[in-house]
Amino acid sequence: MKGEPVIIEGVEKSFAETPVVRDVSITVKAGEFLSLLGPSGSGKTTLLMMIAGFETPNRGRISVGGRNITFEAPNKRDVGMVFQRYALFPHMTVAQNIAFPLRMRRVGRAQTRERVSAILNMVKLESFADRLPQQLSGGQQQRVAVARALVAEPPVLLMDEPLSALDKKLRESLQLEIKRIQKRLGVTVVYVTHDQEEALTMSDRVAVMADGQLMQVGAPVELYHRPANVFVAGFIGKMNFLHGEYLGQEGDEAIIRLSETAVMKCPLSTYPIVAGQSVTIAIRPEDLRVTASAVSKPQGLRGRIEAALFVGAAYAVLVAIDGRPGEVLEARVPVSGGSSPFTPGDQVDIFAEPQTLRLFIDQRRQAA
Amino acid sequence: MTAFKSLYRSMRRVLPSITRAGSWRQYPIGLSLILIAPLFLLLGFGFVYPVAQLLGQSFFAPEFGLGNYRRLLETPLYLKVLVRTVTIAAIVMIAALILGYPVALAMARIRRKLSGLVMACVLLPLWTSALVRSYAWIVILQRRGLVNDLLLGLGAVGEPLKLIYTQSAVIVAMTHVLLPFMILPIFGAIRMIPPELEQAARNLGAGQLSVFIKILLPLSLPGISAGCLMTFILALGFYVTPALVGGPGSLLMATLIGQQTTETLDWGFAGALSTVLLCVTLLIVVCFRNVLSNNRGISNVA
Repeated sequence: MKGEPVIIEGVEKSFAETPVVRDVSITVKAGEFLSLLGPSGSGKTTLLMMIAGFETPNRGRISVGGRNITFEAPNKRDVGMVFQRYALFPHMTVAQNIAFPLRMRRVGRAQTRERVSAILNMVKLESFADRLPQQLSGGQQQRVAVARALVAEPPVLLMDEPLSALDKKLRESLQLEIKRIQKRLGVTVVYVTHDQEEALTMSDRVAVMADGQLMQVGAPVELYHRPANVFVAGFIGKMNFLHGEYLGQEGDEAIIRLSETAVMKCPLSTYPIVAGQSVTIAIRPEDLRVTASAVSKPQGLRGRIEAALFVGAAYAVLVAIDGRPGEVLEARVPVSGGSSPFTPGDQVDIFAEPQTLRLFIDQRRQAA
Repeated sequence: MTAFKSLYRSMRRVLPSITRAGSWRQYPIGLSLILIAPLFLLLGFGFVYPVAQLLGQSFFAPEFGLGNYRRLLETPLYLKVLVRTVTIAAIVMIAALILGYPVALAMARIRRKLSGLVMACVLLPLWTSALVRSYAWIVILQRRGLVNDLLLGLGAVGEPLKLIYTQSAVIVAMTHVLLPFMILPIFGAIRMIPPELEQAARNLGAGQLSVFIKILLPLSLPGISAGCLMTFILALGFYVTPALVGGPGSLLMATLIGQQTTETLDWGFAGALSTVLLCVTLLIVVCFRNVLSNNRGISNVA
């Protein structure tokens, strides 16, 4: 089996005049694992349903391996799918469920038996062939669903939040298993999820969607370190935001005024920017440095410790910023020694290396 | 006292396994018995007693013996009525299934608003009495009724056809009256089938027809069997409609029993007829259940 590319070009879909997917174009490479990530209502499931053929786009084109399938019947697409609630046929045994797509393709009896047992072996369910779906646990049912979707060797596999009904531990082990199977078969996977951790660990690339639009497509590392906009910055991982005003340029760094006394430098983005424009700075918690304020720096950001929470490998330190009521930054401070490095009420200095910061111009409503 | 205690203990052990929900543990046994009592009394005096009385009379009236049953078995006419009753009930059941399944399927799969409308259309006849519905068929099928007027007007026939008081009229009217009892259980069964199953089947390469045969039909079998059983049993004992739209050539068991009790006042023979009808019904129900319980798909879904 070899994966085939999926090309989505300018696809739009509305339900009763409400746009759900707006002008989305993505190219999924052959054998790639691409996640569609977004909050509920972002249009990711609708997009998946259009690839599967259960919805028809109002505009645009979807093709698999060069074949235009935009208006093809779902059973003629040769695109496997794993459903959120498994959708196993309750009146068929595990083996019968998995044999179903082969029977529909009129594969011979002997070959069907062979392929069913081979794929059962791959998902480690050999001994469950004659069980009924309701006699299996959730994780086992999901593995059957994966096996059933793959047994006919489709070049593309669609997965609609396949692990959302399972508990955390099981979810993690199944993530690895799905990834292993995908690597081994080389099938192209389009994976819908609202769980960013899942998307980051499993995917070659992640497509972040919000409000029916594509916000950014990129490798997990790229999304994490170079988010294209405030939405992606806030959606992927933990992020602190500081609002300020652009003052001017100094070398290739921008000077941002955060308060009467505090300014911050950060790398200047390429887009045109004018003095006085309001901007947002995004900082990862692990990039924030917090030190007890011994020496008062003239232009630094200062604050007071609100809480220091032990979260295993580090302390999550919450700092309320002086002169900016209501704004709390979260920083990660590595555990050293054992006791918390700070106690609530401590005065601290906060700073960050300029290259770890991301600068975004605040979008006016009409500009968006 | 200790004996009572051990009895109580053993009951507590056994009862939850009998009543699977284990509600005995929540309600004291005495209270449960008190709550059940009114229904038991009503059933006992209003149903079991008179039926037993009637069945008993089949052996004792006019004199003790099996005379009534011998008469039934030795008269070809009565046997013919029995066979006809079962045949017509079977035909009505099959007709109702063929007519009802698509309606149930449509009701379960169309939009909620529209499905409410269809549901109302299905239920509306249930709220009108069977008597009214049967008279409606007389209006439609009689010598100068709707159908004959139409056929005459079109010149399709030279003189009115004999439509009413025939076996076909009985079948048509009974099918109509009993249709809701077929549609509702099937509708319920189809509504329980998650739509993803159909999507999954389509995704795995099944065409519309395969989805129906391989997925919808087997999964709606519990509803089909419930509907078939209900219409069949109701049809076996149906009285009003056959009595109104049927003729002497389409006499059924219920009508025959009615005649014995109200016209010839032969309660013994009426009892014998009832006993035979009851036995035939029970036999068929048992057969039905056995056939169905052998089907793994049903026992698993139901």
